[in-house]
Amino acid sequence: MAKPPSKRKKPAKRRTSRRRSRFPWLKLFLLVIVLLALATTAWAAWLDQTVRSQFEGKRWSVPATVYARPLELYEGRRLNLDQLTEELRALEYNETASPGGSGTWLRDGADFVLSSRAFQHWDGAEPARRLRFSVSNGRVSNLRDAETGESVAIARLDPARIGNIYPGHREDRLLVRLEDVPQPLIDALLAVEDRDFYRHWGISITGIARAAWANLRAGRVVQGGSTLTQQLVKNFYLTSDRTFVRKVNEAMMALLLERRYSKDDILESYLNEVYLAQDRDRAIHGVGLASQFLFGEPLDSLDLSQHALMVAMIRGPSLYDPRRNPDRARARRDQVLRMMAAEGVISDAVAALAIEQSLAVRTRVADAGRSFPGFLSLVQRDLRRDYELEDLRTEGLRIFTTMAPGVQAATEKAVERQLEGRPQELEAAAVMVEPESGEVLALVGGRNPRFAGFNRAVDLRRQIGSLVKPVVYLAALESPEQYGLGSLLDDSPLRIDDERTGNHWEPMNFDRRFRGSVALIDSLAWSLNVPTVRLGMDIGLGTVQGAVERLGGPANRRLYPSSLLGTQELSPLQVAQMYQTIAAGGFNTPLRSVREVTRQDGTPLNRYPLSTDRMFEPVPVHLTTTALVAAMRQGTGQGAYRFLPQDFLVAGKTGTTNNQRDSWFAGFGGDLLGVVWLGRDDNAATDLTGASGALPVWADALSVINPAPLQLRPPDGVDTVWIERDTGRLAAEHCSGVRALPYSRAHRPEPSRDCDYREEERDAGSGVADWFRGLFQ
Amino acid sequence: MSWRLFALLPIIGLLLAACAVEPPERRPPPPPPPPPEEPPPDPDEPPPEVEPEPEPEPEPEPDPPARGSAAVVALQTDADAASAEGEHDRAASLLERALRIEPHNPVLWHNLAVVRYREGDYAQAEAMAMRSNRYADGRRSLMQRNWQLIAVARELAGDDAGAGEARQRADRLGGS
Repeated sequence: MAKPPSKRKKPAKRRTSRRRSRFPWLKLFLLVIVLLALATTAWAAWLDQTVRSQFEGKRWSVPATVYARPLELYEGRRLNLDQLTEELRALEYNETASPGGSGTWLRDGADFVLSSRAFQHWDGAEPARRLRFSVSNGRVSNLRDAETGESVAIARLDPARIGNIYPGHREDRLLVRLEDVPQPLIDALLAVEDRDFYRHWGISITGIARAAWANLRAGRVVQGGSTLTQQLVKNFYLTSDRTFVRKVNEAMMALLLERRYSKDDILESYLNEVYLAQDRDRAIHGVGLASQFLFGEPLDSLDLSQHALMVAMIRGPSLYDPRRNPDRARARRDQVLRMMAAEGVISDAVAALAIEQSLAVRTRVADAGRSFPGFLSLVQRDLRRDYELEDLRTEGLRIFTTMAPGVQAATEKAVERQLEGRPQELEAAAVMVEPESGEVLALVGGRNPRFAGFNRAVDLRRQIGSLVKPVVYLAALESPEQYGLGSLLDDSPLRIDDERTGNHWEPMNFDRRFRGSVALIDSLAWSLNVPTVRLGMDIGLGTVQGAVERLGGPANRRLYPSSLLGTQELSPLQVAQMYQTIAAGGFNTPLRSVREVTRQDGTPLNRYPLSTDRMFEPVPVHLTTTALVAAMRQGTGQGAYRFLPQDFLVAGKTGTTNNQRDSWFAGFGGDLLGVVWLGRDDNAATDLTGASGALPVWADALSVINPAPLQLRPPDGVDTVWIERDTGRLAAEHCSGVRALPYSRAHRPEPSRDCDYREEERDAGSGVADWFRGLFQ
Repeated sequence: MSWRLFALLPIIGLLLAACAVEPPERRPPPPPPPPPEEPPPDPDEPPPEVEPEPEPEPEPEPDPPARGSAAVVALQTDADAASAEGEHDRAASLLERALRIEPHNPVLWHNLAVVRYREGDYAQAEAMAMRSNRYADGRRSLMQRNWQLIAVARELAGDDAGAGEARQRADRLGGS
C-alpha cells in the first residue's frame, strides 16, 4: 500500500511509470489481491473480536426487577375485601369459577380459595399451595391448606412486580441455563427454526434450499433459511437493515461464532436472546421471562402445547400474540406441532393431543401493570447509596421493596377522589409508613400518580406550618416539672421585637381571637399560634430545633421565632420521618423503601434491616400523642370522623401555611402513619386549610385501608389524674370543672385550692379506659 | 478484643447465676406462670459452655390480644433455629416479619436485641432492648433481662458507667 520511502522522487516516479507501462495489469492484479487479503483478514479479525467481546463479556443487560412486599396471610390479619382485591390485582392473579392452577383465586361470599405461585424469596423458597380462608369483619380467619385441610400458621405469597429499572432500550429477560430448559421446547425450536443445528457450521446450504422449496410450495414465507446461529448473530450484533453487506457479515460472524463456541453455548444464548413478546413498553426477551409473561409459570411447568406456542411466536411476536390474535397464534402453534411430528421428535398421537389443547395463556388482569414512578424513584434514591445506577439497570438485580399494593392503591384513589373537581393546578403528595418498622408502604408523588415527573413526596420542600407544633409541645413536655397537659398557657396578644432589624412580629391565632389562657393540651388540639410561640420562646428556639433533629428532621441553623409556626421547609417524606418517631413512642427508625436485594439467581446481596434509636423518653411522647388524639377528637382534626368510625382512635395534626399556600396533614393509627400535602407547584394561594384539603385525603385513605386503631398505652410512670380546667391544678372526680389527663407520676401539679378531696380519690386510674372516657365525655 | 471477652465471661456467669436464683417476685394479684428464664446472650463467637438460646416466651401473659399469634409463634420458632445456626440475617428477618404482625410484642423486640447482640451490633442491641422495655407492660423478668443485656452491650461498647447503671436497674427489678 505505502510506497517505499524514497529520497529522490523524480527517478522513482520515472521507474514506476516505466514498470507500470510494462506490466500494468499484473501490478494492479497483485495489488488488488494483497489489498483484498489484507482487508479480508482485518475484517475477519474485527468481526471475530466483535463476536468474542460480546459473547464472552456481559451478553445482556438485564434491568433490575422491583417487587412489592409479599402479602402474608395469617389468622387474625387485618384485611378487608378491597385491600385483598388490590393485592391480587397487583399480583395478576386471576379470578376463576372453580379452583384453578397457580395464580388464581375464587370467592364464595366471605370464603376464598387461592392458588399461590411458587416463589424464590431472598431467604428461601415458598412453594405453590392452595389456600382456603375467610375474610370477614376486616380480618382473615380459618386459614387452611385446601388440599389437606390442615390449618396454616402463616403463608407468604409471591410479591407483585411493580416495575423495572431500565437501561435505554427497555428489554427485560429472565436468564436460564440450557440444562434448565425442557427438552420438548428445544425439540420444537430445532424442528421449526433449524433442523440441522447440530450438524452445520453456522450456515446451512440445505437449510436455505429447503426453506426456499417450502416457501415456493406454500406460495408464501413459511420457513426461514437462517440458522439459529445466524439469527442470534443478527439479534446480537447487527442492525435490522436488509443489505447485502449485512447478510455477508452475518454469515461470516455465524461461522466465526461456531468456530469459537460450542453448540450448547450458542443454543443457550439464543434461548435467552430471542424476542418473544411485548408488555406495553417492556420487550420480553428469552424463554424464561416469556414463560412467566405468557403463562405465569416457570419453564419446567409448561406442557408441550405451551412449548410449541412459544416457538410459534418467534416468527412474529406481535402477529402471533396469543392474547391479541388467538386464532392465528393457535394455527401457527399447531403447525409447529405438526412439524415436530413430521421430524419425528414426537409421535402423531402426541401432536394430535397437544393440538387439542386450548392456548392456556394467562389472561392479563385488567388495569394490571400499573406504574409507580413515585415509589420507584424513592427506591432508586435509597439504592443509590449502595449501587451504581448502571448496575441497577444492567445486572438483573431483584429488589424487594416495602410497598404494600393495597395501601398504595387506596392512597392513590383517595388523592383522586378528594381532588376531584378541584382546580387543575392543585397538586398532591402522600406518604404512608408503617411507623414501628419505618417501612414506606405507599408513596404518591403527584396528583396523577402515573406521571413520572417531579416527585413531590420526596423532592418538594414546603413550609410545614402547624405540623411543627407537636415538636414544640413535645420539647416542652420533656420538662415535666414545668409543663403538663393541663398547664395553662398565656393566650393574650404577643409582640416580639427583633432588636437587630428593628422589626417586630405579632403572631395571631387562626381565628384572630385571644382566649386569655388555655390548657396546653387544648392549645395543641386547637392549633393556637400565640400560646405556641410563647411556649417555644420560653423553652428556647434551640431546644425546639434540637427536638426537630432528634425526631429525624433536617438541621437548620437560622432560627427565628416564626419557625415555631413552621416556616422551615420540608418534604412530605421528611415530615413522615419526624412523625414516625412520635408514632413509635420516641424511637426513631430510618424510613426504608427496600428490604432486600438479590442477584437474579436469588443470591442475597444486601439486606436493609430495621434499626432504631431511642431519641425521647416514652412519657413526653405519650403525652404529646394524647394531645394529638385530642386534636382529632375535639380539635382541628375532627373532620377525619366523617370517614372513620367514631370509636376509631387516631392521632394527628393539620397544617396550613400563609395565604393557604400549603395544606398539610400528618397523622397515625396503630400501624399506619400518613402524611399528605396539597398545594400548587407555583406556590400560589389555594383555598384550602390543612383540615379542608389534606385531612380528607388522609382520612379517606385510612377508611379504605382499615389499619389498626391507635392504642394509647401509658408507659411506666404515667397516671391519669383529675385536673381542674381553670387552674390546671390537681383535683378529684367529684370536684367541679375537672377532666382526666395523663400525667407523669413524679411530676403532678399543685393540689387544688378550692376543692377538697381525699388522697386516694384523685387518681382516675392508670388504665386506658378512664382516659378514653375522658375523651368521649 | 479476645482478652476482653474472656474478662467478661465471669460477668456473664454471674448474670446467669443471678437469673437462676432469681427470688420470687412480689407480683400484682394475677400471678402469671413463671416464664422460662432466658439466659443473657453470650458475646460474639458462642463459647460452648454458655448456652446462647434466646428462648421464646410461649405467649405467657393474657394482655396482648391473641391476634396472629400462631403466625408469630411459627416465625419465632424459625428465628430461633436460624439464630442457633448463626444465621443472624435470617433470624433478624424472621423476627422483623413477626414484628410486622405484632409490633408491640416485647418478647420479639427482646429477641431481636439478642440477635443484634450476637452480630456484635451493641448499639442496636441496646436500642432494641429499650424498645422491648417500652412494651413490656410491667413484665419484670423480661425487663430485667433487657437491662442485663443492655449492661453487657454497654460494657462491650466500652461504656462502663452506663453498664453499671443498667446493671443496677436490672438488680432493682430482680430484687424488689
